Amino acid sequence: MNQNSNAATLWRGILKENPVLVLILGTCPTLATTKTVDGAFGMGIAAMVVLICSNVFISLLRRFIPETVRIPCYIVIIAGFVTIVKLFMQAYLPDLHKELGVFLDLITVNCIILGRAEMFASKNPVVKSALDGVGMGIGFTLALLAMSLVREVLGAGTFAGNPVPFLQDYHVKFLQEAPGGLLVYGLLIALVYVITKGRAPGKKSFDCAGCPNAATCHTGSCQEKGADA
Amino acid sequence: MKKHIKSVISLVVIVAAMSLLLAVTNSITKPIIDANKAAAGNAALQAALPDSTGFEEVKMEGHDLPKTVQKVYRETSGKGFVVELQTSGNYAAFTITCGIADGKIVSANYTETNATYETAKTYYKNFIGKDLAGVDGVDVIAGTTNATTAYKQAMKDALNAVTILSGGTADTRTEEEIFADNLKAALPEADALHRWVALKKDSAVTAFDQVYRAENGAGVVCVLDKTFIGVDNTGKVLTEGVPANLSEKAVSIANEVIQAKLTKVDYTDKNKILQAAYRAADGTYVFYLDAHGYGWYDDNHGYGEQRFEPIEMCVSIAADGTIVDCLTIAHKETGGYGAVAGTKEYYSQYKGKTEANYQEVDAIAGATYTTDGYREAIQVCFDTIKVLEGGAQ
Repeated sequence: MNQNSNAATLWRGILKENPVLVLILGTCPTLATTKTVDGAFGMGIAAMVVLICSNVFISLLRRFIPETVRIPCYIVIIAGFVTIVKLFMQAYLPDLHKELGVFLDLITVNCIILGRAEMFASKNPVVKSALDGVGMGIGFTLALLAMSLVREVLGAGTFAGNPVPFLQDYHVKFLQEAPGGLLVYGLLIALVYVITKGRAPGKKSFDCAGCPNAATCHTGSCQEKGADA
Repeated sequence: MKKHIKSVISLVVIVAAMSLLLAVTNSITKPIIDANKAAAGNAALQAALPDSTGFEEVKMEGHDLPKTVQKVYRETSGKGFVVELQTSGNYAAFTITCGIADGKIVSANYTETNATYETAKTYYKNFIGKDLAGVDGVDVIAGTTNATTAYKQAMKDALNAVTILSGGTADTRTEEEIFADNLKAALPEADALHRWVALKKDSAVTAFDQVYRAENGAGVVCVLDKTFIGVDNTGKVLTEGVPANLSEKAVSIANEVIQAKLTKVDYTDKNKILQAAYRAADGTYVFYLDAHGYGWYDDNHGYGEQRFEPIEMCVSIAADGTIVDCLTIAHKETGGYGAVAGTKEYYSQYKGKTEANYQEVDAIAGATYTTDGYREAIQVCFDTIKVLEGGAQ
């Protein structure tokens, strides 16, 4: 598969450069919304919609936005789309909106979205950016689903709110709590590492500017390709 | 400079573009979100008046509605109304959602904070299916008088509000106001009317629910059930249509007061429990006291917040040192405990007691402070007599 083809762009986000399990971005909503399968799926789809929309928009405007104000512009665009998604959710899916609560707003500062905007959408044509959004979004959603499956089924003995017969008496409540969530997260990262034969982490294709640690981190594989802001 | 202008322009354009998108989204979603909110709010109204299609709020301006009424909703298919009320008892605060159809109460759902007496919590069931006359017939519960009185009044207010808003007229006076109006009408010459007690052992005061004496000596008013009998200071009955036996008794009470030739005595004890004292010509004293209730002792011991409300009492003591009559006029003690002090069964036990043996009256179970306060007040009466008659202390 040609690394720059549309298909490659799409598939990249799902496993090899899964934003949550490989790039370790967007961990906050990952831990917070994976207590239930409903919440995880809703969060994943919401973030994907925002990601696609903002990628497309930013890609459309990429020649128009000057370098100096690109971050504020991206934030305005991302925040605007998050609000739009929130409003639609509040109107058509009020229960999900209530369940996700403040984490819907926090999609605005989700590193995945700003990172992809900075790294990909600002440098690539619209169709490619859209597909990148789709791929990353699916990857995000799948990672959230995987985590929530473990945390809800084994942690609470239910699946999407419906009780699972055998596990009702044997569920491990610890998995529903924060430490349990981190444990599951770590194990999933390790699993993906094994599946991709450890090759993925070394070839990150996101920019330092999209990473929250940019100010303090001066080492690590982020800088491998000499990619600075 | 050009770079800066370009930056500003691009920011402004992007902000404008996003604002436009947000405005479009808002116009699409706002009606749906508002409808969702309205539907959720409607849930409470639906519970109050089942099988309703919809509700619209009725404007309350321009109508003289009772103060407890907060909101009134008309059911759109003509089924009736839902009235939201706010009232409070001693410590309980009630928010009541009352459904009314055909002039009768269909439901009286409520949320309350701080109701201290369990009985008040099921009281609302008494009103289902009742109209205004029926509500009037529901008794308040002794021991939780304030809460149940407030609830009963709120039920009346709801029915009256619906009547007024439907174009009718209603008497929105509270029971207290109606009572005060009736008293005033019975003895128009009176300035202030105070609860009165018996001055003699076989006084006719016991035949009535309550007796009031005018401060300015204009006469007395005797109350039995809904009958108010006014007698002036010449012994003439002012109220018409009173049965002979009752008017006889009322006149005898008026004469009792006239013959007593009461003089007001200017004295108060060091704790300011004694509020007013009157001396009759034959040496009988009448005392009005504010006894220390539960809140007084509670606060003095540093527990909790100040809840001091005095227990208003009236005691008459004959020249021989015997209590002729004892009466609790008002109190704010806790239902089921100190509130027992407000019951006739309790305070009439003091009749005939002297300084030596009034302590024989049993303490109120579970209300030590109230009992202590009550006894303290009785003791103040005896001490005052000693001071005024013998110049002691």
